[in-house]
Parts: sequence; structure tokens; C-alpha cells
Amino acid sequence: MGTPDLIQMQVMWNRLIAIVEEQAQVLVRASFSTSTREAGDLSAGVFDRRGRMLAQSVTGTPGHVNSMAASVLHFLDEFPVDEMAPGDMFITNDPWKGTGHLYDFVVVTPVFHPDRPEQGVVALFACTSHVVDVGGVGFSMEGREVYHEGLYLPLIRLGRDGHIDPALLKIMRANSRAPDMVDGDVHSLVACNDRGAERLVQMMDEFALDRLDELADHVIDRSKAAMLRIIGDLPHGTWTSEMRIDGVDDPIDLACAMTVGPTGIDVDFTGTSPVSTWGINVPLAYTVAYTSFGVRCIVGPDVPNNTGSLEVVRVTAPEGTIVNAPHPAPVQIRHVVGQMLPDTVFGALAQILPERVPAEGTSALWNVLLDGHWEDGERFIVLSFHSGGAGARPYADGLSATAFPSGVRNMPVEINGAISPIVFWRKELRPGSGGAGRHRGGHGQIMEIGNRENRPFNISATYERTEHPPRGRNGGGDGATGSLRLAGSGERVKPLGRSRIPAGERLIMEFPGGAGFGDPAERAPAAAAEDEQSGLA
Amino acid sequence: MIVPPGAGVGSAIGFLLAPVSHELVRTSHQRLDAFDVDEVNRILAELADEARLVVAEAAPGAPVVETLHASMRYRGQGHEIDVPLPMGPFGPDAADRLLAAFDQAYRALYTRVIPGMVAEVLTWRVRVSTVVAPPPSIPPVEQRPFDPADRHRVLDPNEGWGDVALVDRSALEPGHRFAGPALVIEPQTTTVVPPAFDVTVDARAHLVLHRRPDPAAGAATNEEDA
Repeated sequence: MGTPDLIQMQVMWNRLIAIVEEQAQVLVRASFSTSTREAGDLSAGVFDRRGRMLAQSVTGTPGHVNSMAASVLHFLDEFPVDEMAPGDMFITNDPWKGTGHLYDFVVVTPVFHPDRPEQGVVALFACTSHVVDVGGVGFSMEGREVYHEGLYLPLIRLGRDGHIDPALLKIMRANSRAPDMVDGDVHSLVACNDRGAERLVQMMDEFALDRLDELADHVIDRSKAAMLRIIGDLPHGTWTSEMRIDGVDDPIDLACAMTVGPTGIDVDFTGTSPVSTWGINVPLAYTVAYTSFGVRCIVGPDVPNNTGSLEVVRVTAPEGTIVNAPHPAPVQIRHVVGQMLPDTVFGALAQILPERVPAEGTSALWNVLLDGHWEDGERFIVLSFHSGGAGARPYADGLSATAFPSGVRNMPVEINGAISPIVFWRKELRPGSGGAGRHRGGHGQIMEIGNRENRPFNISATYERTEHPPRGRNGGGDGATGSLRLAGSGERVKPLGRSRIPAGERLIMEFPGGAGFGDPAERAPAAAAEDEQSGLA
Repeated sequence: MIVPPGAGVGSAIGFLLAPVSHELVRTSHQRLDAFDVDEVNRILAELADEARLVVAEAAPGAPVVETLHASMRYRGQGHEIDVPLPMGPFGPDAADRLLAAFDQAYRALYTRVIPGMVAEVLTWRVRVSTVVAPPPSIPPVEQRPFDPADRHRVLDPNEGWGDVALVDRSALEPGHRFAGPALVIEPQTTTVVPPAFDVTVDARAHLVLHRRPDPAAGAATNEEDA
């Protein structure tokens, strides 16, 4: 075709977004891990041959998406695009060059047009999902080095000619407590990229495109220009913020300086606490992902996410801080700190745009990770994603029991009852947990968990906001802190680390609530009356 | 573009013309590596018998066709796929046949199968349906011009004010031909014929809209490519 006009470009851009959404849906439908298929803990995207992300699926989680975008560039450094052949596929779970911990497998597949393979790579598809088990200490913060945390796949070739390397699959199977599920998930990752590639070739034929370069430039340039226009309307200067969170042995200070200027926004984490001896450290890739997501929630949220819109937000952190933990620091539970970064940058953004930035929330997921043995001796593991309350928004109450910023879904508790002897006796909104304000913080939850067989079980707790609550904004009240205790004895259970719940006991978990926004005296009478009536205020 | 008579209530007409059918679903979890052929054959026979009875009440004596689908997945997955199968009963090679059908459906959806992984069936779906003969082909008709007498001034946001022909659809006969712009009016709906289209009426009273060849085509991009 000749030079496509703006409308044709926009139609093709939308088609790219539809293709990556189908790619993500294949991953959801074909996946074996419950976190991918039930919670949407995944990402999928299409890249040009220079490794620029052109589109990402809406289904997915920011920690994956933005770090996966950087990961593709690492693959291209390792495997030059001109040396790739049709049917090649590549994989990694490198926390520093992938998406932050060993559980996330990133698969990259180059696309060739089948009628003209000599033309070389026309695009690349990449996807990420959280697999069930990679050996090591399991999904816990107990590792003291990344070597303890399980199988480590550097950036490597996963297969050629469309066939997955059987030797590599054997290694993965031998290093997992759930070999079939990991095997199946690797296949589903490869399949979703293949489906994306098929659809992209169909699109290129339909629009008579022989390459994507013009479309890629259009997507990137437009998105970048839109972001720069929005940033140009902000006051320029530097703002700082700090947030203290619980940490494991000592509290952690997250500190950032945000500089807004004509070429974009720079966020630097100088002043942040050093790496921890526990596996809650964050590789820089994951820090960049959640920081830029936090900025983009407020600045240019409607601009599609791609390299153009991402590259105007630059993130740095001194090496050795907990948000730029060097290899071989343990990083398995990096989300507990990483998901706090949007709240940290909100502290700076709120000084620039006081009426646009929400209050702090629970932010880090409250995953319920339990294990034990059935009466017949067989081991069970339950990993279930759950959330406390989100911070109040400048225009509305905070969302209750909602995962912000990760965006993953809470998992239905019935699924766990079907695969383990664990019973969730209670799962309800927690009264009084949302901070007061013109807009109230989202409610946390209360869960009561027991074993229907009269046997003990273990919890691997990775919970934040049990000592340092989410803080209110513009006069709003703080959210409630979370806690864990035994139902019978009332004994407290530690929020970080592994504890045994004795036979016959039940665990009560109180999730934090989100903080409030604005003076509570300004709360609309109708909203106040509803709070009263619901019994939740 | 073809507009059949009564297009505005097409789904209601379709309901009246659709075959009489009844579909039954039963859950019987079967791993292919431990497949109980007798149990499955018993379930399929029960479902087919029950569905045939229902269809026979609504369409006594009509010839019927039976189809079978299984919801299948690999063990450990959470979503099933729909696998079409030949209606039973299954023989001793049932597991192999099911795996072959599953592989085919799985590959079509997800591009590749997973070697060595155990597949399983969760539910069985039997449908019994009367046989509907395909409609006969539409014979060609001799075309003749139709002159819409009424005209009406209409505002088209793209073209501005213009004279549009008003056509009463009940006055049209097979073979009639007229040019857009026109509004073809019937009790349930109105068909808008844009200025660039001609209309012919086929032997079954369908309106067939053709884009008129664009004299400028070839020189510039035409609307269809935009």
C-alpha cells in the first residue's frame, strides 16, 4: 500500500491492541497456573524489530508489562535480530533482565512473514506468566541469595524450528515441585506468542504491509508527543516524598525525588533504605515498572502504554538500595516493596496536582500462601491473591478489597477448598478499616481460615502495612493497619515469615484499609448516611 | 449487500424456521489414561434417548441428526475447550480417538499440543436435531427498471440536503432495479440505500445492493479501502 493516512494508521494501531489482547487470552485460557488464569498475573505485548513495545494487552499486571518491555531489549542484545530464524523462541526468568523474580517466565518469539522469510524479523511477541513452582525455598522471603530461590534461567534459546528444546524442558521439570504445570505453562507461553504472530501476519496481508516500521514510528511518536504535551502543562521543578513501611527486621524508608522538565519526568530513589537480608528486595527493572506505572496513573493515563509513552518517565536508584538490589540479592517477594512505589511517587505528584492524586492504600497484595499435609500424607500448597482497601480517590471513595496497583483479581476462595483441605470460614469487608475523609478509604477484609481435617497448617506471611498505616491525603484519615491472630487463643501471628497454625485453630487475618481523602467534615450527607446504614464505617 | 424481507425481525423469523433440537449436557469426569468406555457409552445413550423423545414431541416422525461434543482440557488446566466428536458408541480405541480429536481442536485454538500431558473430559453434550434441507438456489430473473414515484428531501450528514427516492417494499417485484439514494420502507424496518449504490430485487424478493463502479476508481483511493 502507499503511505497510509492517519485513519488507516489508527485502525492498524487498534488492530495491534486487539491482537495482543487475543495473545493474552490464549495465555489465560491455556495456562496451568491459577495465578495466570484466575488472577490475570501475566502480560503480553508486540514489539518492533528494534525492541520497541508497540502495544500491550489490557489484561495483565504493570510489574510484568513494563519490565517485560525492557526485557525484550536484553534478549536482542544477547540474540541479534539479524541472526534469528523462523521458529526460534527464547526464554528467561532472570529477575534482573526479566520481571523481577524467578517465578516469572518471559518468552520472546520473533515473527517472520511466511511468504518472505528472507526479509528477516518483522516483529517480536513477548509474554510473561507466573508459574507454579521453580524449586528453591518456594514462594517465600526465606532465601538469603537468589541461589536459594530456585531454578535460574538466563536469557537462553528455548527452541528452534518451532520445537521446544526437550532437554531444557527436562531441566525445568526436574527443578519444580509441580513439573507438569511448569511444562504446560511453558507451552502456553509459546502458544500465545504463536497466535499473536499468526494474527499479525494476517493483519499485514490484509493491510498490504510489508513491514511495520512506519506504523511503529507512528505509535511511538504519537504516544511520546502526547505524553510530552501533558508533561509540558505541569509546573517544572523537583518535588520529594518519603514513605516508611514495616520491613522485616527494621522499617524501610522509600524516598524519591521527582523532577518534571521539558523532556519528561525523572524519578530518583536516593535516600531509600539499603537491601534487606530477606527476599523482599527489588531488582531495578521491577522498580522502573511500578514507578512509571505510578506516574502514568496520574500523568497521561489515557495515552496507550508503549515504548513512546514509557520512555519519557525515567527511573534511577542507587545500587545497593532495596529498590535497586544487585545480584545475587534474594528477590522472590519483591512485590511487597515494589507495589509500594506508586504510593511513594504519589507523595511527590500530590504536591504538583493536589486534587488529582489518591490517598495511600494497602498497595502490596495480601497473598494467602498456605501449605500442609493431607491426612494421607500428601502435601498441599494454596496460593491465593487477595487485597486490602485501596486509597480514597480525589473524586470518589477508595475501592474495597481491590488490588491497586497490581490490578490482579482476588481469587475465588472456593478454588482453594477444591484443591486442599483449607476452608475459608469467613471472607467479609472489615468495618472501620477505611480512613475517614471527604472520600473514604476502601474497606479491607477479614478472613478466617481453618483446616477441615484436624491437622496443623502453615502460613508464609508476606504482609505490609501492619505497623505503618496508609496515610490520608489533604486532611483525610489514615487507613487501619492489618494484623494476624489465632481465633481461639488470640495469640498474634507474625505478618512476615512462616508460622504454624495448630490443629483445630483458625487463623484470623485483618487486611488494612485504604486511607481517606479530604476533610471528613466535608463528606456528603448521603454518603455519611450510607456509611451508617452499611455498618462498615 | 443482501437485505432479505423482514430483516428487522430476522431473529424472530429465524426462530420459526430453525430446526427443532434439544441439547443435553452431563458431567462425567474421565481421564483419558483411565477411560471408562462402558460408563461413557451408557451416558451418551441415555442423553440421546432423552433428547430424541423431546424432539419427537415437537416434530413427530421427522428425520433427526445427533451430534456429540466433549469439554476437554489437559489435566491441571482450568479452562476447557469444546471438542466435536462422532456420535458413539465408543469402542476400545475410545481414548485414542478422543485424544486425536482433542489434539486437532487444541491445535486449532492454541497452535500447538503438549506432548505427554494427560487430557481429560469434564462434560458430554449431546444434541438431537431435525434435519433441515438447504434452501434451493435462487433462479436468475430478468431485470427491468423500477421508477420510484415518491421523493423526499432528506439531510444526509455526509452529503447535505438531497432528494431521496421513497420505495414501498411491497410494491417491488423480482427483477426490479433502481438507483440510490433511496429509502426502502417496510413495516418492520427501513433500508437506507446510499447514493453510490444500485438495488436489484432477486427472485426471492431480497434487496441486493451493488456499489456503482466509481468513474474515478484507479485514479484515487476509493471509499472501500479507506
